[in-house]
Amino acid sequence: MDLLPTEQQQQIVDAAASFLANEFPVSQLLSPGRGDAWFTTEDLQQIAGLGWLGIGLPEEFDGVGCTLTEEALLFVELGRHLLPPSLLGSVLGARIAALAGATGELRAILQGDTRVVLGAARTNNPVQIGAEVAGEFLLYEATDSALVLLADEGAAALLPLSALQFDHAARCIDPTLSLACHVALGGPALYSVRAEQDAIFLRGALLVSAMLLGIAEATLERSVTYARERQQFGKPIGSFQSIKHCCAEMSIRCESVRALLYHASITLQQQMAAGPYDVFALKALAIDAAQLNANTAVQIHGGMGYTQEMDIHLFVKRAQVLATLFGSERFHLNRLLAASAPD
Amino acid sequence: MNLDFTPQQSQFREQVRDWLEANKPAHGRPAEGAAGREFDLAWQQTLYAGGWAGINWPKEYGGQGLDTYQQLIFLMEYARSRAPGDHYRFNGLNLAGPTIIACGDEEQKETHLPPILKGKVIWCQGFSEPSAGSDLASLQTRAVVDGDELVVTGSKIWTSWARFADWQQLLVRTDPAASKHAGISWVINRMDNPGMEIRPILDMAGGSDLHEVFYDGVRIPLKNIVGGINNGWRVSMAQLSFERGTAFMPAQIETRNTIEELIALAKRTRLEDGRRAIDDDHIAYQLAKLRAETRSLLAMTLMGISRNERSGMPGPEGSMLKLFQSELYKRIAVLALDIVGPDRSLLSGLTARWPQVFLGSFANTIGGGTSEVMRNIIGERHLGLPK
Repeated sequence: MDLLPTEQQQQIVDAAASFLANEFPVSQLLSPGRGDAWFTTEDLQQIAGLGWLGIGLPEEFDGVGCTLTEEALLFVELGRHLLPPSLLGSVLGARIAALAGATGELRAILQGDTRVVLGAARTNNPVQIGAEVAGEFLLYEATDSALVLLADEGAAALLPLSALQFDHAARCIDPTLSLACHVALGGPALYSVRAEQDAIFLRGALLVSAMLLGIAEATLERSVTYARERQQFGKPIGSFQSIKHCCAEMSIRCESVRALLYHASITLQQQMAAGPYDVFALKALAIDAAQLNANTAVQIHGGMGYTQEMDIHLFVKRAQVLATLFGSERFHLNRLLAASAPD
Repeated sequence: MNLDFTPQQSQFREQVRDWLEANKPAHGRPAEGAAGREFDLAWQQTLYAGGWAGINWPKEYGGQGLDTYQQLIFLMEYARSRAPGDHYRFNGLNLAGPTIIACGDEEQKETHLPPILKGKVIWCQGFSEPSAGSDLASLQTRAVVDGDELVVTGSKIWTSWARFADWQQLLVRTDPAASKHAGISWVINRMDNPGMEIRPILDMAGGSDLHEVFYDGVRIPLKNIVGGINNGWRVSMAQLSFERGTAFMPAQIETRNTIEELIALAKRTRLEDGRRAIDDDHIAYQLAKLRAETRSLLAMTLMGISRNERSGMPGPEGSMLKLFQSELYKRIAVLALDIVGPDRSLLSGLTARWPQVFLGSFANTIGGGTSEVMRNIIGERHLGLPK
């Protein structure tokens, strides 16, 4: 039993963190006119070139052959740097393509030529996800050539954007992501995977939780740095218990989500009975941690935290978007309470 | 990263499970003091005879000399079997004993460690004072050297089970001129020493295990100082490095058992409108959140043990786990009253346990360092925020 990254796993984290800090610093998102289409195909291909999109995929499918644990560690860093959720779409989309034996799509996804975008079902229409797909979906980062990945607890489906009917474009709460509403009228999916074949939905929920943890940690780090430097009443505001104790609570939220993320990555990967239970608990706590930490970070940064001159608002907004992917807090809590507790 | 146990560890788990099933007491522990003491000592004697006392204590002092993982497995199986809690044995097994192992001299170890494991003695702790609570290092109980003895005058408070204890780990000020952390000594004191007066304090949950203890010229041999004179602050910190994070396993499992029992209660309790409590959205939401946090508590405990195993030093997880678990337990207790409904007023009958849990839960966020002190420690030592 060892619930910490091995040396090799830590190397993956360190390499990812330094690559992202150099190539995709969060500060670049603050430059004026950056817009919601900043993440280009070249960016995606650059990341694909690192092997990240197939890190958890077996080598027989041209993946790196690591486990869900390495995927999770990587997605914490991606979340911390506000990289787009379509990277998660690519990782899961590659899995579906591999399971379906769709070698062409698999190669295109792993090379970063095809983007796989994610969507959340709107609840005002009946939703069906499986061999056939119906419903109204909010799609992030949709581009003409993209594949769309839709999943619920029963199944996951991959289909071309053209299979859905464009309804209307919308402004996204997160200015770094485009958003449009599309409708599926019950046509067939390109490929679909039932949950019994592969737990795409639960893997998605776990990896979104990892991204949420990245947000919780990034906003804690920024708050601590600011509380050490910012002086009021002749001393750093971090010396006041009202601020210090907020930061302590933020750090416990990070610790509790990180520990459960590690635990869940093992129980789900190894198909242990506790896997789904761990993921239900994890997603609920991760949503809470990201939202509470990001929101608290605004307060700790005071007036500056409320502006777009600092990056805190981007974390607040991204936390809201990620909360809607692969099951809401309410969904996961309902499932958790209905399950029986593992030994 | 893995959750695997070796075949040897799994076999050890089976042995622990089988032995506990066959040997754990058939009857519950009496709440009353003297009978409680007899029960606790008898159970410790049974553990010792079975070869299960002091799993990670050195063999030469009666321990089993096993490693952290065996300690972890033992504690998990122990809590799972619902064997009796530590109660009066707590201090000797978890605080005084480990401190003597870490800092005591050979004579102190030989004299004091075996009787703890053999179930012959109960220990208590004299740390806090009326004017030294969260600011423990400002303690003022004086100890003056007189020949080969210390002469102690002052008072201690919050000493659990003092009137049922044989020995006490006592912090005294031996150098009033030194800075406040530097002039303290950690000494072993007999509880039947002349010049002591012990006054029980009735707590809000109805217990009388807390005490105030007064010292008027109490004489303690110099050889009872552990870790050297004026070195007591460092000695009292040393016990932290002994447990290696496994100390939180019992509380973690107790929290799990409590939330699961509360969920079971919510399934069989009817609300005013006839629905089951668990079918109420507000109650269900809170139960699920507490269940999620409790699951995380397990993972945090395992991660803390892993961190300690690697570094050999306790990290921030001690303060984090203490704060997280005690606050979580308090929220469970408050929700329990909501589920019990009007019967929360009953301190007798089938649901009496829950108002008792509620009243007792206040102790956890105060004793052993308040939640506020824990947040200071996390903020300052772990996050590096200024004092």
